[in-house]
Amino acid sequence: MSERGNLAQVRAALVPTLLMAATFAVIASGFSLFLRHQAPVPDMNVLSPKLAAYKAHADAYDTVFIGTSRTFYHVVPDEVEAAAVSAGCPRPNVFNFGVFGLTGAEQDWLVDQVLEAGKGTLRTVVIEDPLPEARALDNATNERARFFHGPAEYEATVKSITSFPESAPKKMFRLGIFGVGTAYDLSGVGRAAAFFFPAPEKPTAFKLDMEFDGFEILGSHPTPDIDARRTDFLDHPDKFDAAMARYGAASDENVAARAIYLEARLRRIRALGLNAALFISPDSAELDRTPRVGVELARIAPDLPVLNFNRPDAYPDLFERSLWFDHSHYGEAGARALSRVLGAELCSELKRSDAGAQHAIR
Amino acid sequence: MLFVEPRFFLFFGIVFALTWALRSNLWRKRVLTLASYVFYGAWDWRFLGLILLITVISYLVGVAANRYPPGDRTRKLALAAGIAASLGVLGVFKYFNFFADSFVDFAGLMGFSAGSVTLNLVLPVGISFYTFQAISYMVDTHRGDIGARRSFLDVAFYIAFFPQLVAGPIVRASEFIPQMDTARKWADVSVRACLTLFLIGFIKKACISDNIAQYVDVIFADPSSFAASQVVAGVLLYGIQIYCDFSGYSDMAIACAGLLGYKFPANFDSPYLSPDIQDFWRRWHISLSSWLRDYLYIPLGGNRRGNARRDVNLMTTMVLGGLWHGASFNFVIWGFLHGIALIVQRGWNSLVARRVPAMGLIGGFIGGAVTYYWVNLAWIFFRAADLGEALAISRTYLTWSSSGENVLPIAVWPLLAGLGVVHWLSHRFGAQEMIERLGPNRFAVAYGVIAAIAIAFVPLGYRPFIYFQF
Repeated sequence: MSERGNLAQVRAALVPTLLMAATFAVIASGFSLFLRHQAPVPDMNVLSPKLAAYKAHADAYDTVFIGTSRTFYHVVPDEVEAAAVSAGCPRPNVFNFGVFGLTGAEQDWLVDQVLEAGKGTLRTVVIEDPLPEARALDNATNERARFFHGPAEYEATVKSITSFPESAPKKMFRLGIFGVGTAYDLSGVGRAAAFFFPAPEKPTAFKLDMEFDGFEILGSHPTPDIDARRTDFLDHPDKFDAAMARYGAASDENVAARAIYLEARLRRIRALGLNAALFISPDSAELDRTPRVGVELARIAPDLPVLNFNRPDAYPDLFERSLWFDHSHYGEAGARALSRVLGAELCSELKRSDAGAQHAIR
Repeated sequence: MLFVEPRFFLFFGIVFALTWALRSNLWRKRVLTLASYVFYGAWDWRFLGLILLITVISYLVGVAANRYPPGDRTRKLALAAGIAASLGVLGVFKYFNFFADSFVDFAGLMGFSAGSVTLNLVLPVGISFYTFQAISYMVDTHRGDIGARRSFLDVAFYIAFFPQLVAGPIVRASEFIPQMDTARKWADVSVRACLTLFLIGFIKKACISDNIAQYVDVIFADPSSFAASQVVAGVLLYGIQIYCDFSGYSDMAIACAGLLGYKFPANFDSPYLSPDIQDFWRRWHISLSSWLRDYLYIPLGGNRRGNARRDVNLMTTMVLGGLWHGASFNFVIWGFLHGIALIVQRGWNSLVARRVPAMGLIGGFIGGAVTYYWVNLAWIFFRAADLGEALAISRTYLTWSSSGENVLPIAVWPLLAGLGVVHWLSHRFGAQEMIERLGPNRFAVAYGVIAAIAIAFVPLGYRPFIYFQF
């Protein structure tokens, strides 16, 4: 066939192809959103049992820590409570709402859940700087990611990604993963199948031992991933030393946008008459980033409490290698050591904050 | 790499674009052969040596057919050696352990003690299919139905062409090889027909088969815990599952080949609507049944040597056809049940149907129901993990009694009825043709709507095609 003939064929195929793609996109996303509306909140590891436990006993907790695995494995409620009492505060009742891999959109959703369930009892919400978005496709298309890739979370996710202090190409990559995750969700794949063809045997619901108010000692429930992280930490002491050397190093990653992002979230909590604080956990892998975010937030919003522990110069004892389980998390001893300092500093911050004073009156 | 996986769509998109971008037929064949090896290697690259070995054997038999005249002893010997070698490879990988274990068991029954020898071999995916294609090439060139290819590439392309490589249809050399000689023309490709067929195959596999598979699995895993109505429904569901799974694969294979310019024969023709078992076998896995007829049943003598010999040939063909599916007595019984049905039907035809004309009319309906019931009874042996399980399910299927009380979490009988009605309507009114005949823009909109709804019915996680294990 001639070149002209080929071109004519391509042109003739173009309109139907675009029409097909547009129809597919409209119908698939509409059907998907309709089915999303009908579907219950999925059962999510750690998150679901913690949320259920918190909702069931919300009237027992006045202080909630919401964050990533560094909240989950680092904040020991009993230690925080005891340290706060020692520092002269009334004994708080702390709930650890740490969930590994918590993203910005997830954290916003969790804060809403906690604020709703904790009405009347809740006094203090401490949030962590969340993760911006998954970096692997699998993590962007699993059930949990899918639940948080709904239209209601688009804005929160984009804000979290764009404000995160990292290079433009990395942000673009994360936005790309978010786009793929969103497209996957909007395709609706699996939604009607789950609805019309329910599994003959319901999967066992995720459970979590809530004896420690949401805290778990890292390594107490070994998994291949956790074991691998531990082995890597033990086998490569040089990595830890190299990470420590990054503290204070110059970086061109802009932390200002992140500080603004976190300030908005803290102020929203405060506007409800609650205490709000930012918790920056020791994390040797993030020594070049999170400490600067904390410093920047303290600079632009001096009235907001920032519990910035990822500073080896200020807290050298917290960076003893023996306290660490892997390059980003403490073992039990580290978690307890940090929680003691955390309880004392939280008490001190609450004493001087306005919201704390209001609560003292209430 | 499954036809329903996103990576297959990517793979096919690249191969499709490359194929049609090339003008040279030789280069197209090279690209398609290479792509087919990539496709097959995606399962396990070690199997590539096996398919190459089968190809070399086939090629050499073809060379002998070229060199020696028909009737020549060397030519016959080459064919026999080629078939024996191909079946030998198939036998070692697929049947060695089965026959070794069976021999040990038999020796034990006879009072002898025989040491067990089993090989720890992984069954290469699709080996039964490409071995039969290779035999088709050898026999067709030996008979002179087609000229043996001088080009090794042509033989490799025929045996490995990826749409049919792992689960058929078994395309005859005489049907496919002549298509290789000229560059396929885009103008001859019926794009709408191919896209429609692919979508139908996709829906059968991903939306129907994969969804009902979970129910079949639980019922066959523990039939005694389910109520009789559920067990019977589970058996019928398996009949639908395997039909949708296999015919869905065939549809997608035919569509993919069609989009690349090659025509494959139809492999299914609404077999469950057959009025009798003979007709069922004209409409189920057509490429295998016609292969068995032409390369086994007829060479055995077919129906040329009297009724008794015909029945023996029929039973032999069906039992071997059963064994082709896998090394298990369950498959032998499956083939036996079909053999019995075919023999009974021939007897019925000659003794009753021809003498009582009204039986032909009644037979259309009653025969269809009996055929469907019998085919599903045979499926129990096809699906069950072992003979004990098959017998237990058969008992419930035949007597409609079970001590169990469990029920599936779906309204299974309305689902079965619904699927049956949709299937009948689609067959009766030619749904596929109706979609194909739409104008380009209407076709595009209809296709987009159907695909969008279908994708929501695709369950998460992929299930391999049932016939990949054969």
